[in-house]
Amino acid sequence: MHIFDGCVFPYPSGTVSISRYARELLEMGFSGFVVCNTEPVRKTDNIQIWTTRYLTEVPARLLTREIRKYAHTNDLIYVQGGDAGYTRSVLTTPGVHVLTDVHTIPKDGFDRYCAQLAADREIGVELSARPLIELRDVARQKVIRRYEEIFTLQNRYEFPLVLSSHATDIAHLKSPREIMNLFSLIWKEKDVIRESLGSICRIKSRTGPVVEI
Amino acid sequence: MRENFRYVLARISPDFPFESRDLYRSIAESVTSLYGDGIAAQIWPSVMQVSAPYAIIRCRRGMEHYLETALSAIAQIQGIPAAIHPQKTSGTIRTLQEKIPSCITKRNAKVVISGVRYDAVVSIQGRIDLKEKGIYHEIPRYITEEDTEDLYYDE
Repeated sequence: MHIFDGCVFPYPSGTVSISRYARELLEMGFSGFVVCNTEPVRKTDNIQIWTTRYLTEVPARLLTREIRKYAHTNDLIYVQGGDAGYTRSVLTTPGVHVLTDVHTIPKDGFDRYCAQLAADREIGVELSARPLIELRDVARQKVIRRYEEIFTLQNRYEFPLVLSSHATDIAHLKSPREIMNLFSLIWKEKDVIRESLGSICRIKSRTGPVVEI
Repeated sequence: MRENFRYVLARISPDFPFESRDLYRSIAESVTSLYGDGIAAQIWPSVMQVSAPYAIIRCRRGMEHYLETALSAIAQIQGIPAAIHPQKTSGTIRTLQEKIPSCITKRNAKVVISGVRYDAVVSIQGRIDLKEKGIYHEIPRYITEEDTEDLYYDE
């Protein structure tokens, strides 16, 4: 079974080198991880390292052009969500693999229709463990409620969830067991959480464009 | 009546010599903010032993899942960004003491990156943590030998 950390930020976005991430995450029990905004990484024997383009604050009209830039590479495309209209245009743009930062999007930014679109197109929705660790009080409660909504929609529409540490520092890394413990605060079905740790493989290996019937 | 306890072995990252009272404060804050005073009283966390980078933390039997989750939710200890990773749970301290690796050796060294020498701490597993002094975000702070051009151990 594949167990991936869905998103880590190596130097210069963070303070950790990719080889150090590989060593730490392998020891923690991951079989691979996704690094953001970096050049393709040379292969390692013990752990899979995938690269991604993390697109933030891209205007809706420029999304297709931005994504097309990386179409010829083997990179995954992560796009930050926004209000409902923006999120829908992200989810309908070909080439998007994962919708990120759902805890920061406005209320109703990810609704039932978005959930249906994500399920049809096999686009993952990324949930980061970092706000659960770094925030306190009301801010954390809001994130927990938002994540609970996402889990409820996932339970109904079955779009892939991608769990990640969003680490920029060595102290932000979490083991699979810790990620499961943290997300079990929100959703009690551990099978869903366990499956989400490997869902990035399903998203990466999805076949061709989906045709609506 | 005698209470039944469980003990959790945890690894502190990054490897920094924290005192047990600093650890306790972080754990108590995390448990209380996550579960409130009622559950915190039931968990009854207590730091039994610290031998950097490992610590043994006690809780009431049946509450170890709560404690592990709260340990995972720690972002800093005494204002220093740090994480506590739960490793194993047992009914006795002795079992956990046996699980702590006996040779955790660290050596001071100098590493060369992009032609510049930096002070660093090298662990036996090949982890290199650069000392913060003199680093101004020009290079990553946590690296391995693969990222260095040269490595000299201090006498």
